[in-house]
Amino acid sequence: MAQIVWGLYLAEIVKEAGKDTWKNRAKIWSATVTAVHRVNQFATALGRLRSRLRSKTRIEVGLPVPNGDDGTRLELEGSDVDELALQLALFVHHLPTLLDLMRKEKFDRSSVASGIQLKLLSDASLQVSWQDPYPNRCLVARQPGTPIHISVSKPYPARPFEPGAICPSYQRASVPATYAGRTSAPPMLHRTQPSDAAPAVSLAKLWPPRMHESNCLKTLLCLRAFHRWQRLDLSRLVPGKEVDFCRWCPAVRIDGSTFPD
Amino acid sequence: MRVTSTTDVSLQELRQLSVELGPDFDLEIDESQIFYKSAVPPSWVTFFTDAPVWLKLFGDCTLRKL
Repeated sequence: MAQIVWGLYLAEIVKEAGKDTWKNRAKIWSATVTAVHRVNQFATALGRLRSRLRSKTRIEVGLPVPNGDDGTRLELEGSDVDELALQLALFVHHLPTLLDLMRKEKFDRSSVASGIQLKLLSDASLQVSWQDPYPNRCLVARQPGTPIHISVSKPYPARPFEPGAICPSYQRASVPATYAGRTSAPPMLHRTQPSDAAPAVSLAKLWPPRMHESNCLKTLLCLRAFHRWQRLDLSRLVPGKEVDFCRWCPAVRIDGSTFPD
Repeated sequence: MRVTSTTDVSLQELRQLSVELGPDFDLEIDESQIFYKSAVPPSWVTFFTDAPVWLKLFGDCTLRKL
């Protein structure tokens, strides 16, 4: 396997040496030795790290494109040092072509819905895939004759915003399976979590006169979370949600969650 | 080279990796790890750096520039 890594670099030497002088060929040789040493050093360290991590932990290398959070990532598979070294060498080998592609496609937040995924295929070519945020631009493209295959996958189907809905934020209330955030910035988690709080405020205004049914005792019960719920059919306004109104206070219950809590 | 990870990955392990690799790689460990609230949360360590740094580290760029 190490021979293949060497081979990748030697192919470059042969190519470059043909264009250059003998003086510079020595520098090329020296640089290649250093490069292969570093690839092996990095692969060895990653192999050791792999043995200390849980088996499901992925080790990835990549570029901060389109940004540092949703970058361009290649998962390094396996734990064998030679295998890791080969994947690193192939990653670096493909980088110039990948950069050309990035320049051509002008990757940024408007053209990539999330990160860019890289995958080394069995013929050592690199597959680049990303999600186009605009449904009308969905493509599956392939560049023949180049070592990089491109695939642009369709975006996740978006729910159309209906004019009768309460507010746009409610449309985002379809809960994703996974929330993500940063340990040092917990508010990010709250920003990414869809919430029913905003539609609850709007819904509470739909039935304001119900407060007259309350009295001191009923208010006390509401304060102890003993509400008198009344369900209204609001399927046209908030499709797929069960909405209950308390007859004694402004509380609204959406799918079992009470607002204000 | 910036190292980002999920919360299940020990920062101690990453610091040890940084020591093993030495100053050439200049690992910058991002201590604000990503956490996921999920039944099966993903787990990863990512080594991010710009393309010129990758190429400089692993030689290809040097070959092209010489």
